[in-house]
Amino acid sequence: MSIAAVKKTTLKPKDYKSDVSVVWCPGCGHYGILNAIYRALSEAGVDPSQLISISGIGCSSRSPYFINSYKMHTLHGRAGPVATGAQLARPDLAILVLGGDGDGFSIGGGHMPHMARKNVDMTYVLFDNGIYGLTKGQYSPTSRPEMKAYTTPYGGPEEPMNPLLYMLTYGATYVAQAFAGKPSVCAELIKGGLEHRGFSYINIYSQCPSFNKIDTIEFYRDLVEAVPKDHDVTDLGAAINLARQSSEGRAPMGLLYKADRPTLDQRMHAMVEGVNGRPDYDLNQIIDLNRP
Amino acid sequence: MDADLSFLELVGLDFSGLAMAGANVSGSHVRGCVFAGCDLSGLYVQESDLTACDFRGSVLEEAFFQKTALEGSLFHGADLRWARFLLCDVRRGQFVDANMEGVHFMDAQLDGACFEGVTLSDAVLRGSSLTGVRFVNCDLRGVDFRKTNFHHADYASILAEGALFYGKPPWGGDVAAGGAAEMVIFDGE
Ligand SMILES: Cc1ncc(C[n+]2csc(CCOP(=O)(O)OP(=O)(O)O)c2C)c(N)n1
Repeated sequence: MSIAAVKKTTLKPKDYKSDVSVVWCPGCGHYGILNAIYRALSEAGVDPSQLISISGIGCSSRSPYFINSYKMHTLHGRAGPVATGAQLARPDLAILVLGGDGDGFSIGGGHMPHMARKNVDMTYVLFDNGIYGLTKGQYSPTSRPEMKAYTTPYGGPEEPMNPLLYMLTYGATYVAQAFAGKPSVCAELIKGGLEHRGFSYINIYSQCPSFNKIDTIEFYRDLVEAVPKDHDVTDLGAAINLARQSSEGRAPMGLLYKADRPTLDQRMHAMVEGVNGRPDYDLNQIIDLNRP
Repeated sequence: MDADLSFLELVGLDFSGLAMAGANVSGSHVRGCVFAGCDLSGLYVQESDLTACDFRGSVLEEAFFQKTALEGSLFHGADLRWARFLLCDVRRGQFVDANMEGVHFMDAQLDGACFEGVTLSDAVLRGSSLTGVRFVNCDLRGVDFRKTNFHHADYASILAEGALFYGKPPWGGDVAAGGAAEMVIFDGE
């Protein structure tokens, strides 16, 4: 999401905290990601009065309550479409979508490719803990087969999906990954996403000590490998090669890909102008004009 | 961006007086380090070993610690307003003269810690282990003692009006100059 249209501020990370007390289990990696979001918003100087945080349902999807911004806590899996609508209606606002792997890739999985291919101007931070936390521990699309959960007492019979590969393939224009043990790296990547004009996707591994007993902070520390310094972030092929490593037991940490492409709202705007329409058109009037 | 001290071995170092606000310490070994007089506001610490560290006179406002060993650490005179300690081992921690407004110890081990004379009003100690803790002369008004073993601590000359707890309080009628401690009925959790 581009924050070009948003007023610059010099607020401190703590100024982005809301009055709502954060209630996640002790030990949860989501605290680190939230901390990184506060820092990223402060570093990018986003004016809270021009920020909407939008989520679906899950532990991670509670995040908007803890952020000093406008917020929409929507239906499970539906943060993306709501955010797309919000972005088209109010391209002057910064849009931050926050949610989990269950919310984004299970029930909400049908929306993910469309936000990416349409290049909706927003920043999507996915808290990837490989489990459904809020509902107390079910296997998710990013769970490893070794993980025993209530729904998979003998482990999983399927391979996890690869969110980075998925996002790159569907055309996201900013794709990055980090883990909650490195809030400073997370903050830097989220800040980059906020400053990018287009669909930014940041996958952040997060430990869930309550229900996912195998993906610990040490596991993620040993799993991730910094993106090589000479990696060209404009090279989609190179980014895809890096993303594929996640399926081979090594996960890239850093910015994989960044491209400049017109966003959905820019193309809509151009289309409206092209037919001599007004940018502030009223959809209901257009529907009325075209009634049979 | 703020200092990243994650996954490091920093045992026995002296950081006294440094400005380290917002630093991030994940999975690091920081035993026996000195942070006296440091600005550590907004510090983020998880799954680290900070046993026997010296935080005397430091600013730890809104600092966040989770799953971290802080056994025997010194916090005398530190600014701990709104700091959070979740699932931390703070046994024998020393908190005399610390500013602890709104501090939050959730499921923490505080056995043998000393809070003598400290104002802890509205602090959360929920689920924490409090064996042998010295609350002598403390202002414990509004403190959340639910799910703690608070019967095994020392409460001489305290104020405890509005404290939250299950069952009978361990302090007797002579306590609470400001009024009798409130009995909280099981709240359905
Ligand atoms: C329509 C619908 N189906 C199912 C649920 C139950 N449900 C709530 S949260 C959740 C999964 C949350 O997992 P994730 O998105 O990974 O977030 P986490 O809690 O792990 O942060 C599910 C299945 C629901 N709330 N609504």
